[in-house]
Amino acid sequence: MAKINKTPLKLLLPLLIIVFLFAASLLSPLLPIYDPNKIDLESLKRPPNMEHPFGTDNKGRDIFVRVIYGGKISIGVAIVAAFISAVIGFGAGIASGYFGGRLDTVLMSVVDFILSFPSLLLAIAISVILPPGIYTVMIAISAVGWTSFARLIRGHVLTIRDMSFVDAARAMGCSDLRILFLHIAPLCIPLSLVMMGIKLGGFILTEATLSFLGLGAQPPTATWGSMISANRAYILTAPWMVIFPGLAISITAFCFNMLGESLKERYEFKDN
Amino acid sequence: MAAYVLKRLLLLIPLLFGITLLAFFLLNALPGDPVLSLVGERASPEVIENIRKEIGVDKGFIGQYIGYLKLLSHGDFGRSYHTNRDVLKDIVMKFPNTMRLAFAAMLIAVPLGIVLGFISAYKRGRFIDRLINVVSITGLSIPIFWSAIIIMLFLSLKLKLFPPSGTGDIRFLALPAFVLSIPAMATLTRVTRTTILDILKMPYISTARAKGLPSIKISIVHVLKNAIIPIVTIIGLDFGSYLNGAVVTETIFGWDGIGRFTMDGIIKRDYPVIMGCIIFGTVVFVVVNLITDIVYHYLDPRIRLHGKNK
Amino acid sequence: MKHGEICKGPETEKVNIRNIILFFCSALITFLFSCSSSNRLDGYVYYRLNANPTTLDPALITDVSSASIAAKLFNGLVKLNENLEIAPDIAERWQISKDGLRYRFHLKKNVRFLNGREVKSHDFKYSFERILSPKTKSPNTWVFDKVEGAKEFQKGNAKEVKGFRVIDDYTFEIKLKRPFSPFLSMLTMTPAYVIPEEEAEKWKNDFSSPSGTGPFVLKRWLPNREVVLERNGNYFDRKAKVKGIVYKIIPEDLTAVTEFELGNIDVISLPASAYSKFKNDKNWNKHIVSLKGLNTYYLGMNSSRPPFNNPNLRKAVSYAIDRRKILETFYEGRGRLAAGPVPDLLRKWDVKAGNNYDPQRAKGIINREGLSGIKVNMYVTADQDVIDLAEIIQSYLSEIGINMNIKQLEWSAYKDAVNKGEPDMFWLSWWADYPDPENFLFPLFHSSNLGHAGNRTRYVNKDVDTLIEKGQNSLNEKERNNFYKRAEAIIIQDMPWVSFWHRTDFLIKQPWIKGYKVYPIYTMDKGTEVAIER
Repeated sequence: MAKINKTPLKLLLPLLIIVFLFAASLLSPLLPIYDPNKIDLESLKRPPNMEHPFGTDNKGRDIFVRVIYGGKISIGVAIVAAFISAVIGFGAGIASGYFGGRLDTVLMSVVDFILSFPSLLLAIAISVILPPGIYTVMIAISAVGWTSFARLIRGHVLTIRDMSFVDAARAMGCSDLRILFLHIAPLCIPLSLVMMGIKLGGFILTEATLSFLGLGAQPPTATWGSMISANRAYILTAPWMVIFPGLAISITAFCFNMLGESLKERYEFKDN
Repeated sequence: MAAYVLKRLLLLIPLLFGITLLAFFLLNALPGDPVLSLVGERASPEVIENIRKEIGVDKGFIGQYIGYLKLLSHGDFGRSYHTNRDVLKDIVMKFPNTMRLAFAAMLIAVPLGIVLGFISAYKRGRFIDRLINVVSITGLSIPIFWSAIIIMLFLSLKLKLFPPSGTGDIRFLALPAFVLSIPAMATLTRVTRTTILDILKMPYISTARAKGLPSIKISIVHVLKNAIIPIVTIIGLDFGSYLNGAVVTETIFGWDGIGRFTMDGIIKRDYPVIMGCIIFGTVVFVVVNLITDIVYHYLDPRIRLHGKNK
Repeated sequence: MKHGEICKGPETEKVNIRNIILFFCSALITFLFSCSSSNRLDGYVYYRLNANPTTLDPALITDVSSASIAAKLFNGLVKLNENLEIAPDIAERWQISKDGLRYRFHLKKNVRFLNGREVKSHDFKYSFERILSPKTKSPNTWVFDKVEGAKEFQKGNAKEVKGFRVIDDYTFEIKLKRPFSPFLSMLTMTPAYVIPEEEAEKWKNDFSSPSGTGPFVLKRWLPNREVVLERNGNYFDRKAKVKGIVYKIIPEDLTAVTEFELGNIDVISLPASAYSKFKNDKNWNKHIVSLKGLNTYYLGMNSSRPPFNNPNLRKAVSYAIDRRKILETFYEGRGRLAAGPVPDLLRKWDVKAGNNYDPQRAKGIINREGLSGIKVNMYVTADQDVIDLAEIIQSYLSEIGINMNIKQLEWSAYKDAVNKGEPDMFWLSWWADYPDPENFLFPLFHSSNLGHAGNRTRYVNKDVDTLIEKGQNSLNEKERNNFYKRAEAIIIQDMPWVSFWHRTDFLIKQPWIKGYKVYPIYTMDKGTEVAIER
C-alpha cells in the first residue's frame, strides 16, 4: 500500500522538474535576462557573481542565460528523437511481430544491419549530407534509436499474438489490420511509453556526444551538450563554464531515467 | 552445433556485402576529398590526378566498389592512404588493446552490477535499494566524456594513483576501463534488479521456500539461473559495442584502440581504414551475438538455437 | 522441472566448469597485466604530439608532426640558423652563379648514413629525383619543379633530371629553368633531405626504419602511441645532449596538461585554456617559453562572387572588427597584430599599422552601398578556437548590419568546401614552410593558385601577379623586397583577407629541462641543444 502512495511522487517530481526546465527554456526569450549570444569582451571568464549567477564564458556570455536557453534544444531534440524512434520502431515492431515470416526476417535484418554499422559514421554521414543543425541531429539520433523500440515491441507482440482474445477476434472474422490496430497496438502503447522515458535520458546524452564531435547545433546556439564540449578544456581554470551545463544535462537525464523507471514500475503493477 | 555456427557465420557474407555497399555509398556521398586531405597544401594538379588514379577514386562509385571487392577476395584490406600501412595489420595490432579495455570494463561492470542489482532487489524499498537506484540512475545520466574528465583529474592529477594516458598494462587500463564500465554497470544493476523482482514473484520460488530450502540456495540456484538470460543479453550488447571501440574514452585517455583508429579514418577520409574497420566491426558484432546465443543455450537448454530444428 | 535436472548435474561436470572458469580468469588476468613498458626512460626527453605522424618518408611528409620528427632523422644540403638565415648542413659551402640559375654545393666529407656508407653527391641526385618521380607520388614535387628538366622527367620523357648534376663525389650542382629567388630557402625543407638509395629501394612502402644522417635514430614507432628516437653517436655535427626523445601521442589537450603537471611530459605547447593558469603561477611563470610564429591568421572572403566581390563590403568588414581588442582580451595577447599577410618577422619594409577599427566608417559604407541587413555565411571547423572567433566576428558584424550565419563542418568537409569556394567567409591560417615573404604571397594571392593550392579567397589581380613573379625572379634582395612591398600594399588595399594576427605560441617546460629553444619553423629544431639536469 505504501508503495502505491510513493509511486506518484516518483513519477511527478521528475516530470515537474523537466516541465519546469523545458518551459523556462521555451519562455526564455520573454524573460528579463541577457541575450544568450551577447558577447562582452570586457568581462571574460568571470566567476559566478551577483550579476552573472553562473559566471561568464571565455567570450563574456552569461552562462546562466545560456543554460536556460540551452534546454530548449537539448530537451527538444531528445523528445522529438524519442518520438520519431518510438513511432517508427512501434510500426516496424508490431508489423514484424504480428505477420512474422519474410517481413519479420527483413525488418530484423535491417535492425541488425543498423546495429552493426558504426553509428558514428552514420551520424557523420547524416549530418554532413543534410544541412547541419538540430533537425539533422534529431534524424541522426532517430536513425539508430528506432531499432531498440522495434526489437522490444516485436518481442512483446510475439507473446500476445497467440493469446486467446486474438484468436477469438480472428474467428469472428476480423481483418489483420483491424486486429493489429484495435487489439494489439493498444497493448503495446504502455511499453513504448516506458521505453521512451528510458531512451530520453540516453538521447540527451547522445546530443552531447555529437556536440563533442562537432556535429551538433550550429554556433552560437546554446545547447547543454555544446556548452560542455566547447568549454571542457576550462574545467581546471574556469570550472563554472562546464559545471553548470553539466549539471543541467545530468539532472535532466536523471529525471528522464527516473520517469522511465517509475512508469515501468507502474505499468508492471497494472500488469499483475 | 557446428552446423548451426557455420550457418550463422555464412549469413555474415550477405550482411558484409550489404554493409560495405552502404558504407561505400555513404563515403561517396560525403563531401571531403580523400586525395586533397592527403597531399597537403601545394601539390601540383598532375600529382593529384596521379594519386586519384592510383587509389581509384576516379572510377566512380561502382568501379571503386568492385575494385575493393577484388582486393578483398585476395584477403587484402588495402593500405591506408595516409600512413601507407597495411590496414589489416593495424587492425590486428589495435584489436588486442580494444579487447583488453572491453574485458577490463566488463570485469568491473559485471560482478558489481549483478551484486548491486541483487542487493537492490532483495532489499527492495529499503534505504540501500534507494541509494543503489539513485547511484545507478546517476551512472546512466552522466555523459561519458564528463565522467572521463572528472575521473582523470581526481584519480590521476590529485591522487596520483594512475597515469592519465597511454596504452599499456593495468595501470594505464584502470581509468579508461573504469569510465567505460560506469554505464554498463548502471544498466546491469537496473536489469538485474527488475529481473529478480519478476522472478521473486514466480510461484516456484514460493514452492522452493515452502519446501524449506535455505534462502541462499534459492537465490543462487533458482533466482540467478533464471535471471541470467537478460543479464547475458545486456553483457553481450555492451561488450559488442566496446569491442567496436569507445571513441570518446579512447581519445581522452590516449588509448590506442579500434575506436580512435576508425574515427581518424573517417576524419581523414581514409577509405581503406574506414572499410576495414566497418568489416571488422560487423564480424565482431555477429560473433558476439552468436556467442551470446550459444551461452543462452548452455544456460537454459529450453532455448533452442533457432534454425536447428526447422 | 528442468531446473532441477541441471542443478543435480554430476559432480565431475561441476569441477570441469570450475576448471574452465579458473583457466579463463587466469588467462584474462595475465592478458590484462601483460605488456608493461611504461616507466620513463632515463635521459630521454618527453614531448607531446597531438596527432600520429603519418609517415617518415621525406618525400611524402606534409604534416607538421611528421616533419618535426624527420628533422631529427635527416639532413639536407642547407639548413636555417637561429636568425632564419641559410646555413651549411651537409653542404659546407655553395656558390650561386651570376644569372641566378646554377647552384653549386660542396659537400662535407665523412658524413655517413646509419648503415655506415658515406653521403656523396649522387645521393642527392637520387633523393631529389625520387621526389619528382611519378612512381613516388610525392605531393611535394613543387619544391623542385623549377629545376631544369623536371617537367620532362615527370612526364617520363627523360631518364634523369638534367638540372641535377653530379660534378664529382663531393660537388653537386642544381640548374634552374629561370631565376627563382626562394629556391635556396626551399632546400631547407623536409623533401630536400637526403636518403640512401639502397635502403629506400628496400623499404618501398614501409618507411618504418628510415636510415638517415641526422642526430637521432628511429628506435620505435607505435602508431597512435609513441615515437622513440635514440641519439646517433656518429652524427657529423654537434651531437645531441639527451640520450633520446620520446614523443607521446596524446590527442586531448586536457590530458596533455595533466601529463605535464604530473611530470610525465617535459615540454608542452600551452593550450589557450591553460595559458592564464600557468602564467599567473609564480613557480611556473619562469618556465614559459614564447615562440613568435611565422604565420598569419586571417578571415578570408570569397572575392570571386557576390557579395564579397564588392571591395567596399570587404573593407566594411575590416573596419567593423576590433582586432586589437580581440587579441588582447579573448586571445590573451598570444599573438602580434597583423598589418598585412606577410608576418612581421619576414617583412623587411614599412607598412601602415594594423588595426583600423572604425565602426562608424563601416556603417557608413554599408548604408551607402545599401547593404544593410545583408546575409552572409561563414564556415568553421569543429575546432573550438575557430568557433569562438567566428562567434565574436559575428557579434561585431551584427553591429554594422551584416547578418552572419555560422556553419560548422567536420574538418574534411570544411576543407573541401573552402577549396571549392563555397563559403562567403572562412577562417584559416598560413604557416611558413621556408622563411621568405614569397611564401606568404605567391601561394595565397597569385591567380595561378586558386582554390586548394592556397588562394582560397579566389583573389585575382594582374598587377599583384606580375609583382610577385618579378620578386621571384629577382636576385637582388632590395629590389625583390620592393616588389613584395608593392604587392602587399595592393593586397592590403584590396582586402581579400582581413589579416588578424601572427600567433605567438607559448610552451611550458619542466624545471629540469635546460637549453630548450623554440624555433619559428618546425624543420629548424634538430633536438641537439636540449638537456636534462635533475
